[in-house]
Amino acid sequence: MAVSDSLSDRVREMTNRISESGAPALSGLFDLTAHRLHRYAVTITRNQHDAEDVVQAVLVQVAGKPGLLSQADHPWHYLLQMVRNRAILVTRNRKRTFSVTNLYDLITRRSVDEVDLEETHREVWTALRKLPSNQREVVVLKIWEELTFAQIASILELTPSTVASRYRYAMTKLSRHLQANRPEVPHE
Amino acid sequence: MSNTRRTFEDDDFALSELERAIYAARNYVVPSDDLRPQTLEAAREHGRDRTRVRWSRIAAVFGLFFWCFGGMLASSASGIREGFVAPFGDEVHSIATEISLQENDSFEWGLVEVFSRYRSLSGMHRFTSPENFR
Repeated sequence: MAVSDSLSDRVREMTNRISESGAPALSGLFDLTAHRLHRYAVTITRNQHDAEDVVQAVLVQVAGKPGLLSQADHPWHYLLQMVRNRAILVTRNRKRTFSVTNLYDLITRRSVDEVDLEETHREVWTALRKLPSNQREVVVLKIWEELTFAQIASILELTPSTVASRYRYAMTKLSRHLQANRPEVPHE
Repeated sequence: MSNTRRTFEDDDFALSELERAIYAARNYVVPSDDLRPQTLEAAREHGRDRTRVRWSRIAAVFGLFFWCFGGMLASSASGIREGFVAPFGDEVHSIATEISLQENDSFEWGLVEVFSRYRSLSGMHRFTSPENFR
């Protein structure tokens, strides 16, 4: 079973709990999805606080109308779509524009076990921020959410070939950005 | 000696390496610790607001119903009341005067006679008109 299908089932289960027990049962859905939704929202809003506002607004909406999600064919995809729509709205209404490509505005996790990888993670996030928004979200949905091109196409309301092409462009750019930041390896 | 960079266009291995690097960075950015309590509290508050709005609507519907129903009841009650005409003071006074003149008695005895006749009338006749006890 694909990751997104399994996640959809669990989201549906959590949403049914909200239908039965009301808003207090939202904690289960939050724990299951908030981190994923937040990182997706960050890729669209490019801002920590806006992304958190988006996640909060969407989950509160779900707590108020859990039927929206439980009746959807793919609750997880529907939730991603809700976050996307809200994030686009927030980005449009925002007066300031964020052209920053550093990560100073984001809260990052510093794990003792991954100190050596932190620099790589930072580079990846910085490189992602340099991508156009439409390419960035395809990469995030493909690699982090492990969705197929067809599933991404249905969320973004595009054709699978357009999604695949955006992914290809994005990976080329990311590769260049990341290579540019790395020291050259001498070969004979 | 030459300096080379292996990009993902060169081979599939570079692509999967790049995808692995991106995947590994997925948990690097995290939501703040405040997001969870804030979201749960906002959901509870939203739920309370919805309950409040729902009860306000129910109260408004009942209010409207009782206002309409009460208005109809009041108008029909006033229709019934019109049928029950109690003796007005002026009419009682004039009838008592008439009786006292006819009987050649004092006004007070005329008044006593009026109320005696009034009491002798039964049921609905009491309320129809003072003319009944003339």
